[in-house]
Amino acid sequence: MSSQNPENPPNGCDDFAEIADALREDYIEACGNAPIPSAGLVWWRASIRARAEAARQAEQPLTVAPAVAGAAVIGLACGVAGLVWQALPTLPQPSAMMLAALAVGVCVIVAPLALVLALARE
Amino acid sequence: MADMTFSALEHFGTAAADVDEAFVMDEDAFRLFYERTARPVWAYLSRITGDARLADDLLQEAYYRFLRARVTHENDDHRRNYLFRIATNLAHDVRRRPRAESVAGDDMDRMIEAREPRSGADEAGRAARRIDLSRAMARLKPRERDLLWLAYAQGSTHHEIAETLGLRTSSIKPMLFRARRRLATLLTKGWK
Repeated sequence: MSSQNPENPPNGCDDFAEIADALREDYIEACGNAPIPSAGLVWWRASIRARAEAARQAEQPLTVAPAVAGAAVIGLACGVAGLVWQALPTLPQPSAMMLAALAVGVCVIVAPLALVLALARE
Repeated sequence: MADMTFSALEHFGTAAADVDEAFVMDEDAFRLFYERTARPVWAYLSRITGDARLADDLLQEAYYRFLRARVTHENDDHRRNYLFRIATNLAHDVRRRPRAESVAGDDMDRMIEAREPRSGADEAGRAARRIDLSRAMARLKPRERDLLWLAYAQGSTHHEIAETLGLRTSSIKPMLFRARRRLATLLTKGWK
């Protein structure tokens, strides 16, 4: 092909047949020398990868659940704190009963949060 | 993983056991399919990317994506065309990366050098002809390279090429004509 005459570009069928032959020869050579791994190895690698992906997918909801629980507890705590803040000015003076209720409320909110954080750390 | 419950562990185990079911075919069927297709797919990938090592990686990736694809095929030809389509898309993705600039240049040169003629005048002439062709192919647009390889190296029909490249069958003929003309022009001008 390097001997093609520039005055006569190989546009005709005969000229392109030569190119097609060369492509075909290249294809046969490439297929013959292709350093392909065995079918078993390709299958094994694919299985390993599929298992890893399945494990990652199975693990995903577990990491999401504590995050959702934590966010819910924080939201609840903020809501309760807001209600308490609104109620405070109307109160003449904090009674012992009210302080005790507030302390219990804080414990109820903080305890699950602490539990979630402790488990996550483990 | 520390806060994994028993039911989660059970789910984990089931997911791992279902891997084989997640593949589009079983191992025996895969072996047969692989034996029939691996060499042509590798040849296609190595010639359209111009990088034999990259072709090795893309081959594994192509079969993995093929196995994971939940696509039903009418027959073996469709299955094969689908695999080539995956291979084509992978090669196109590689071309879009910055490294793609060197694919048709340095890597192709290395590949061509590795195929330099070694003995015999006739053999040397044929090898030189193929080297000219490889260099000209490297200068074509990726789509033109895909088309010419599929049509003339593999001998695929227009319909098969259309399925592989995701084009309409009717557009293959004019595209092939243009690609042929461009390749012929490049071969006439010679390597510069």
